Amino acid sequence: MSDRDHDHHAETPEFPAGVDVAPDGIARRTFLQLVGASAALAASGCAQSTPPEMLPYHEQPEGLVEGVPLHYATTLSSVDGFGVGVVVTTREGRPLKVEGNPDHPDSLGATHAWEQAAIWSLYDPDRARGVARMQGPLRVPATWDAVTAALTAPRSDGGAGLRLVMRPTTSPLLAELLGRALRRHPSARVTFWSPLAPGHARAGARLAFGAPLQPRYDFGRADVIVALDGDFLTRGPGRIRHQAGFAARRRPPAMARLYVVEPSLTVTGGMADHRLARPSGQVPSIAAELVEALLSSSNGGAAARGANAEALAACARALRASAPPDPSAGNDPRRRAFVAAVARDLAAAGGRVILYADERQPPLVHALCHALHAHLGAVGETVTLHPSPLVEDTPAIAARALDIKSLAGELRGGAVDTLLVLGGNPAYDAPADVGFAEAMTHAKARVVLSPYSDETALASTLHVAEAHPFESWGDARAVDGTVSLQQPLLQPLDGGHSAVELLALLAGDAAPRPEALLRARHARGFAAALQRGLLDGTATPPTTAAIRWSALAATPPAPPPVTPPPAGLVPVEVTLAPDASVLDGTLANNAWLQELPRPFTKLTWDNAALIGPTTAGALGVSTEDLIAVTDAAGRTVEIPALVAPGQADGTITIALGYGRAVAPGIGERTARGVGRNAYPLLTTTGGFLVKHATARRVGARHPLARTQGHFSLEGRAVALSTTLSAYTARPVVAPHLRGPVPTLMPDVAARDLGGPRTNEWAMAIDLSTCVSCNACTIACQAENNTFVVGKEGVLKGREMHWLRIDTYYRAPVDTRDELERATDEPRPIHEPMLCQHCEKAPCEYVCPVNATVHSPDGLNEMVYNRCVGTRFCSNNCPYKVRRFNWFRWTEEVPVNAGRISLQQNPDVTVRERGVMEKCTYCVQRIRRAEIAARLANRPLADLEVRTACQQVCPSGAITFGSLTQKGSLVSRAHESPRNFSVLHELGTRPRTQYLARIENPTPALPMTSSDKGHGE
Amino acid sequence: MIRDRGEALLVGTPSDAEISRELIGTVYRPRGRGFRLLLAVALLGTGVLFTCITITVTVGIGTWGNNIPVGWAFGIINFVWWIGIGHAGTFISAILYLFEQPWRTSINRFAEGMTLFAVMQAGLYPLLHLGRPWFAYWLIPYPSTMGTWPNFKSALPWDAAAIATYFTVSLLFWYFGLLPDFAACRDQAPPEARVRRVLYGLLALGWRGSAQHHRHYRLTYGLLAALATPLVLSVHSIVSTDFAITMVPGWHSTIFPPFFVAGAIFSGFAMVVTLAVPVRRVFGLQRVITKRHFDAMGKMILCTGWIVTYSYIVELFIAWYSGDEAEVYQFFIARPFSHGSWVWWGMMLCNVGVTQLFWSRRFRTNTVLVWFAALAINFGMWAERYVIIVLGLQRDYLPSSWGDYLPTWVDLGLFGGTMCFFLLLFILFLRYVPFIAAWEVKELAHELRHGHAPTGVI
Repeated sequence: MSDRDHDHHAETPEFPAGVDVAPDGIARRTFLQLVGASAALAASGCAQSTPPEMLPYHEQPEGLVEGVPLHYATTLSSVDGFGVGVVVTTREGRPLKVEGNPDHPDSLGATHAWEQAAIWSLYDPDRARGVARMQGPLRVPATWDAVTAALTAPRSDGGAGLRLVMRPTTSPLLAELLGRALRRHPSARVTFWSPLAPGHARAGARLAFGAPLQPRYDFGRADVIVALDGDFLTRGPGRIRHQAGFAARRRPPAMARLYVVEPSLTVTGGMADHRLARPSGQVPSIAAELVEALLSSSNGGAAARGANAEALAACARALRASAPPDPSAGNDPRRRAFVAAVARDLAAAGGRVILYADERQPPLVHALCHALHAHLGAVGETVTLHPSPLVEDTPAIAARALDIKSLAGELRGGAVDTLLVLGGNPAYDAPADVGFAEAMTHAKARVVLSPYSDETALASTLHVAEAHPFESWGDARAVDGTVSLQQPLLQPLDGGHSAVELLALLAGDAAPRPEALLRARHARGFAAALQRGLLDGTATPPTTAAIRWSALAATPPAPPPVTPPPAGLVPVEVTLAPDASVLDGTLANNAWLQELPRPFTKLTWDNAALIGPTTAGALGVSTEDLIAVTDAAGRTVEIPALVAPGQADGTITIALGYGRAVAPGIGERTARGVGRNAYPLLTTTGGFLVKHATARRVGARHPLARTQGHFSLEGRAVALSTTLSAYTARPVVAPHLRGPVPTLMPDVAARDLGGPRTNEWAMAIDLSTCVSCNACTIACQAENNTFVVGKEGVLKGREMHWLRIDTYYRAPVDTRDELERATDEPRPIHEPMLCQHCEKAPCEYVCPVNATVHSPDGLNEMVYNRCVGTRFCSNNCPYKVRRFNWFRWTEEVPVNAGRISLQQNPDVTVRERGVMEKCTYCVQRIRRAEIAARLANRPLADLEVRTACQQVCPSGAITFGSLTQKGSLVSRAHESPRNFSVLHELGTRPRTQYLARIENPTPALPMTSSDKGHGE
Repeated sequence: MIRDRGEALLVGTPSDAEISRELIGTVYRPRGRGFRLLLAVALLGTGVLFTCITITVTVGIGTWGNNIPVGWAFGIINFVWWIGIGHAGTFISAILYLFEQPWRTSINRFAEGMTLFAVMQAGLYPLLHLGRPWFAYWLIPYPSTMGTWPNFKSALPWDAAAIATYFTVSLLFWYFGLLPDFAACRDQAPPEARVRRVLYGLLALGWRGSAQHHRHYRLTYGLLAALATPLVLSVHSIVSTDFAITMVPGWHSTIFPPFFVAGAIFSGFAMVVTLAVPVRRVFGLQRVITKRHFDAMGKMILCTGWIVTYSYIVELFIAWYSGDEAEVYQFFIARPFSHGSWVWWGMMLCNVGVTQLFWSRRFRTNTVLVWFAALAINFGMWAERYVIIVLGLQRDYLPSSWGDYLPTWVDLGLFGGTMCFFLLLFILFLRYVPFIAAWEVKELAHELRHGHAPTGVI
């Protein structure tokens, strides 16, 4: 147990010494069992789960003080299999809130939105229950014995008819159990399947090093970063750490420079100093041009050692050959200038560079990045290489691995009698040419472990509800190999089971006890690891693997893909992308994530075909028009268009994970009917890239619920930015948007407020480092019991998020119809917007009943009980950060009333219909810290109070604290030359102030007029 | 003495008996089919109104189309519109009385009735638009045990007080003016109408028409008129501060009080014309309500319409002159060109364009044309409130939070419902109350007969 926020109790006279020291070892486990968290108990016969009951404690569990939150370190595995260490706050046995584990190398105390939303999935009312035999779509309850019998029974064929499907995982425990199971069934094979990880990065590493090494990037040390269709900030292993490192280098003066080539605006692309919007299919040839430019430049050329240069040139030739003929390449001055500038910067950076590509790019691009890292001297500087922590890369298991297409072939061939799917939803998300849903029905016994009655579960014969990570034991590795443990926080709510149990059964263990298995796997330091969340000393040292230059030099140029002629329709290149919220569809039933505005599009409860303005014009479509996208094989997806600035011409980007087709009444009710399924366009050959597709207007329209409709700044100095050189020359970015406003009224601060002022709470948000990852929005929602309003609510402009991220495009756009006419270089800027806690708050004086008032410590307070709901305050709020309870949301959107009410933070009032609400600066956290400090008879320290948004932010963009504490981070931020207030001229004197975004463009590329920013 | 250039205020020289028959007799005339049809429509619409009120209160304000940023919409638009309409009655009764305008005589009673019923409709909306209407009384300064008071810095408690005062004074004024006519109803009751005779008798508070009565009556009526006069100016001034005290671009303006008062009287006269034309025709009152009255009301419309037009010009000028980008955007881009901007064009057409027709005397005295023009002005003044409230809120400071507004069927039901409720009250008033001040008309007839030419004719 890790009671992180309550260390300060130690010297409190009211608390005897040791009360806050967590009991360890046996005592802790006893407690867990009492609170009701034993997966082991569940495994030993509790197949039918009891409905969750709220009962008073018969005996006070040791170490539990009611009303005092407890914090447990555990682990959440990402869809790519890598672990993120988290600390979960529980109250009286109910997990409430997820925070990052500061000790975990891939969390560093922060999380992304998905980790925050995990708590919603825990209480999801649509989760499947227990074990069931499937009779068509009917779930007939069965017992755990049925599973035991199905999996432990000895097989006469040595497992020749046994096939496993698993998600990619880094779990050492699963690796061990899988190894045991495969040894017990020597002819069985295993398939690792995730639509998001087709393995291009690992194949690239294999090309470069001969082994699937895992690169670990240190963005904090990189001076020049080149993202080749690679969103390193929110995708892939180490994303949270990437963001932290990147943010550290976006603050002046020592700024890195980021170049991005991509087809569609991603979180990373939005932060670029220079961004080139080009189709994904052109990226290999751009990479090739980059290598050639680098080799020919005097600087890079001098550094080139003969063999390396030859190998690089060979790679470049191979890439050029593999890329489709690109008629525009020769006649693209922007691209030429961009490549030249990147090459110049890379050569001059002295090895402090990172080149990053995504899974969408072919392996050769990844290999080229590795080679360039080695060539430029980045290895050891910004990139270290580690043995792959993925289980599928363990030699013994790799030898038994089978790809999903071969598996489908075997299934159809009738060679498989038992199919065991341990997580994932291949019947929904396997490539269209695999036809997995149909293929899997050929197996006689189909045992599926999944949390929902999803497509795969409905096609099974035996469905085992999968326990939530907060209900089960497990482990996972970080990018550097560090093992972190996953411990249950409560008994499985729906009698779920874990892959650990099923694999243990398969390995012959008739009564598996996951806790004992995990303890046996990590015998040394297990108890301490449960406290800290991770096992010390499990990080793997970086390998010194060298690039196999000769092998690279011998890379045969792949034959260019065949180009079918487009039949009279507008040809487009479709890039499929994991959705920013629901990823591959795994999280589609999560209402928090569905309602989370996707970066840039601000779309909720839908996916859409993102089309650039030019292409949209050629197709004659506008936003919300339904279009039919057809690939070369004739597979068609009908989907609403969304005209998106920053989208490369001739491309369409569609997010995966939507259009769940489960019948009404069962399965994922939240996800049903949301968006369109783009998986029919995913193939094993094309992957995420659908070349030679066509698109046409259907004629119908489909409303899209977006939380922001206007993206132009309209020339208003609302979100400021400037360049590093301008900032260095004249540091105070906006002298007219800071400092006192002339007023005839007496100074508020000079008034006698009765007694000395203790604290003056304030916030500063750094626009340089906000990447719009959305973690803060959902952290705020989890902390403050904010309801979801559904698509209807968002369409009506009634979303309840207390913290939103405004995105503006700084490029000049047409005022009246801005989105449709935006350029492909929109130059986005993000501005998190929440209650500004104005010293002279416009909301306060208009409230007829004094329901919103000012506290002596500078908070703009909302008295829900007093509010009659005139909405006058919201009208008069120039920041429009107030949210109104238009309905009793628990009635209007039933999912709010379900089990999720167990998640509600007891420190925060749940608001009733008809009252206004807004950001409170997490006043409950302030008061809790103040009480603790008062009990300890000491002043509050800086950063002792952290708001939910601040705590979760991987960039550290949000600073919170008291202005009365001299030298506090927030008061220093308010004095920063980059500081400005939004709408300063209105004289509201906001306590939330912003630091202007600084960009670091190269002088080598032409600067547009709007690059100059608002500083003058 | 001012020469009477217009047509007669009273056609012919009717005797007191004739006037009584014509004006008091209406309450005893048999009810025709037209009345029953109109009553059915009004009752149906009132049913819709109360259905929508029930939905609003039980389900929530979310059944309306309001959102963030458009926190106020139909509710406040309709409130201001109805309150504005309610201004003409008191203006005619009180201010024109004090200025001794004889042409007010024939129209003041039903203008007052219209005021009363319009204020009743208006009063519904501020209650209903609350998130928690059951706590509306928190806006009233009463000594609460918790020591909490309304926020006197906010315009809304003043608003509540102003409306309540206005309604009370209007009711008193209207009822007081009715006393002699209730007595006339009592006295003229046919033998078969005994119940009504008693009821009118009670309502007449023992009025016998003695000289003593008349002396007291005159004094009190004058005092009430003096009391009501400042209210005509104050109510809409206070209503306008609901907007003027804010920082919303397009609301934050010091010209709002006179602008709103002028607009209110403008729309009020338009509504009086809208009602007077059919009433005059149905009840055959061409003798009492003459073209002269329409001429005078047309002049009032023209005058107040021009104050409104001038305000529009000042608003545009100040927006440009301020250099404030939010104001400039609001007035020059958002209103004429953004979502819902057709309402702005409609407002300009009706309030500025149609008003200019009233320059023509021939137009002013053509009751049919004037009626259509008055309808257009009614719409135009509703549109003005839509423009200020909805178009103002749709585009404020941060472009990110701009949003659009569309009403729901509940919004439309409430609006249509209040019109029907108004109609219901108005036709009941026409049936059961002498809707033209008969005793004042008699007095006027006497004055005309005896050559006491009225002064202050416009």
